[in-house]
Amino acid sequence: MEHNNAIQINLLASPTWRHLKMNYAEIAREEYTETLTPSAVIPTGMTVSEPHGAAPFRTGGGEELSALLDRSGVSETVFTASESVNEPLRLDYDFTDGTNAAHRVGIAAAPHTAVTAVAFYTAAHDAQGRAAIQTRLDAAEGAKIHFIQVIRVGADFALVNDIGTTQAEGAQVELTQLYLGGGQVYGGAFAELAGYRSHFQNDIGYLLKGSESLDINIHTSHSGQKSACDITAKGVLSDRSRKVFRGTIDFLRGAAGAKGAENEEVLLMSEHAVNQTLPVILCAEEDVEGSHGASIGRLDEDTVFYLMSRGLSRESIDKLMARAKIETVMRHIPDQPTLDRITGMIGGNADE
Amino acid sequence: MKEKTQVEHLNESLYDFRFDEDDADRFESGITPQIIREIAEEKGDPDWMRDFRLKSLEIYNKTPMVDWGPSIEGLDMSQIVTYIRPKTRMRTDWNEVPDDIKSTFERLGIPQAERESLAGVGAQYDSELVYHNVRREVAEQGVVYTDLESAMHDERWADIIRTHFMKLVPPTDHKFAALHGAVWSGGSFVYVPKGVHLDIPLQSYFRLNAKGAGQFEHTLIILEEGSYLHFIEGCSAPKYFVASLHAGCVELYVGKNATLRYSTVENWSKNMYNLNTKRAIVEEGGKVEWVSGSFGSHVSYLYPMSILHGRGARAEFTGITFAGEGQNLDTGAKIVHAAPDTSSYVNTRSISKSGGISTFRSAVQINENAHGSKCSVSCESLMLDSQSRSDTIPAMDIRTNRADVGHEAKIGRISDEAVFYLMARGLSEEDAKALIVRGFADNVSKELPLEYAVEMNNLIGIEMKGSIG
Repeated sequence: MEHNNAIQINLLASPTWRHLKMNYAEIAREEYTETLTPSAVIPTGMTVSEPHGAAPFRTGGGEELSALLDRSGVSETVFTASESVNEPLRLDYDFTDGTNAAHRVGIAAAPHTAVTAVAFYTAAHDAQGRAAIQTRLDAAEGAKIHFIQVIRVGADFALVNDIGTTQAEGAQVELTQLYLGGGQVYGGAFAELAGYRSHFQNDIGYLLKGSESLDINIHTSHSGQKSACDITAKGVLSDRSRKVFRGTIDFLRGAAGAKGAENEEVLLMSEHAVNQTLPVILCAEEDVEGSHGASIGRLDEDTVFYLMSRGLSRESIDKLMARAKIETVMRHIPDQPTLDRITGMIGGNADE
Repeated sequence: MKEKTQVEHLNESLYDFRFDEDDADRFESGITPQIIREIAEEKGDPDWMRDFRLKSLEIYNKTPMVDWGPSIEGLDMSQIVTYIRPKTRMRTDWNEVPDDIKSTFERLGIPQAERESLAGVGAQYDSELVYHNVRREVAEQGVVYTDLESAMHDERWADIIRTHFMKLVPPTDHKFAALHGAVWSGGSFVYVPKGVHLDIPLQSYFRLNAKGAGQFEHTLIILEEGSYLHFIEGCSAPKYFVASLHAGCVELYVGKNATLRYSTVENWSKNMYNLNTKRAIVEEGGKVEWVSGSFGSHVSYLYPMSILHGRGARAEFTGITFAGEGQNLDTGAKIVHAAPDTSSYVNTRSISKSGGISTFRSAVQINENAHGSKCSVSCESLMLDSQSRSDTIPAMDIRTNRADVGHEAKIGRISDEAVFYLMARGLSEEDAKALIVRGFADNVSKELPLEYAVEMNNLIGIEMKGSIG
């Protein structure tokens, strides 16, 4: 139900009981008043262009979010790799206090090219404001895009991180996302796996504390034969933080030989943290394999006992295990400067 | 060309038979205050129940239709007859039941089952119970098994009925709970005293014979401390070309350290909208075990709910859903952990064939106070062709860190290698697939009494006929 002052985003592809309040998230209907562009380091082999009337694309955030960005007159920047690039494209969004801004960005890879892009979305811990970034990833035939996102904004900041991917035959998109804090963060991704043997991999790590909230909606749509997806989310909830994870694998009729798997591990570090998980499989094709699994709970008592017997305090153990969750996601990041910067952020986070 | 399957034979011979009704037996279709008052008067409702019905009607009129599950657009509530006046008052001697009704239940094997394997039987035909009986030795233990309306008028039970009726499933719960509160009729009341262990099951069988009608029976079961009961529910109807509606309600109160097993083999005809609500509340150390086989109906919304209210309470849900041509079956379970050290286990199988749609839907909620709770959910789905559909929508809402929750789901098709192996051992492809599906459904069949497991296996075999080519 659309309210006058709110829109629905991150909608579950197949809604369930309303009383669970998990079918969607709501954000303010208010338009974004500023446009922003990230500082960018563009590697040789990539070009920058304004959009040239690209067709509307589907994202995890949904139609109401796209309509809000349209109404807000958001600008768009497109980075295109016409050949494989060795160095990553580096984007840096640094939100200042009072931000009310949005941006659209496109990353396109020409046939049989490979590109890595790294984007940081940060704000000072006391910065207030709101922002929305919508990213389109277009992987042409046989192309590979690895997009790495690192997000950490303050407790009074609301950030929408919305993604849509299209993947042609043999194309691969790897999306590595680290959510390291933020008052209200929304992460949506929609992967259009139309190409034969197209592949989408999504590795998500999150660390939430205080009263931070994270709302994730991942949706893969398999229409390509032998298309595949692999979604993994691992995270830690402390204090009074809240997290919703909606993951939908949608096998459309004709997607013969498609495979999809999603897995979530949630470590609850506080009695007051709230975790909501909704892993959905929609299947209209016989010849597919789909699976999902979830494991939600606190640290295993035997593990805690062992580590304490080795001299670690309970507080140190909690920090160690939280860091371990993030490091399993960091293994998917091949870029050392990015890893160094994340390590610095985690260290800061853990010390707070 | 499609082979005529045994399902059609079954429809024609075993379940799909009917007897003419007398038009004078039918109330007008639709739902109005006047019809509600007439039902209340017909039944001699006490004032509180008549008022409850009218209040429920108000809630029904204000509550929107569900907007998240299978379409129920084909259900025109203005055409549903909510009450069919009985041809007979309830009997406790089988020989006194009218011949056509008796013949119906004879063909369904109910009296035979009563003689051979049940402690008591209730049989509902359209809107009213027509037969209820319980073995003398069971009654002597203080077990009450009667129709709900008789119990409501019996001063020994009237207060208990009033304090328990639609308290677990209030009319505000959803639109069809409100409808049920307004037009309910028939159903059973079971009371098992403290410490009584019933070794053999009780059974209620619900038969909807009338065309374009609704059945709204209410089952209320109360188990006192330390008692045990296995209750079996069976449902069927002949097929008509107009929609029928089943909006029953089951409320189960499981006392301290008591155990209730509630088994259902549902084979409604495939013009039925099955919008049933089942709920249990389990006190300290108690356990509810749901065993559910869903084979019939055109559309089903069915999610038995367990509220684990006392420390150490447990719930198990074991279910299978088989959706064939023209069926959209949305089934699953809800569990609420509302006390410390509670545990639950959900284990389901779904099969889709010939364009059928099966959806597994669940919700596990672990409240802040449910320290030390554990929950495991496992659901597997089998697609037998690409005309069908199978969805899995499990929700988990965890509000304490002192809990362990595990979930796993798989979806896929019958392995070609397994079929090849069985065919190499001399089975036809059809028999090989039927054998694999029976094995897939083993989680439910092994939980049922032998007679019902055999019936369920036969239903699977029948549904699998004609599955090749």
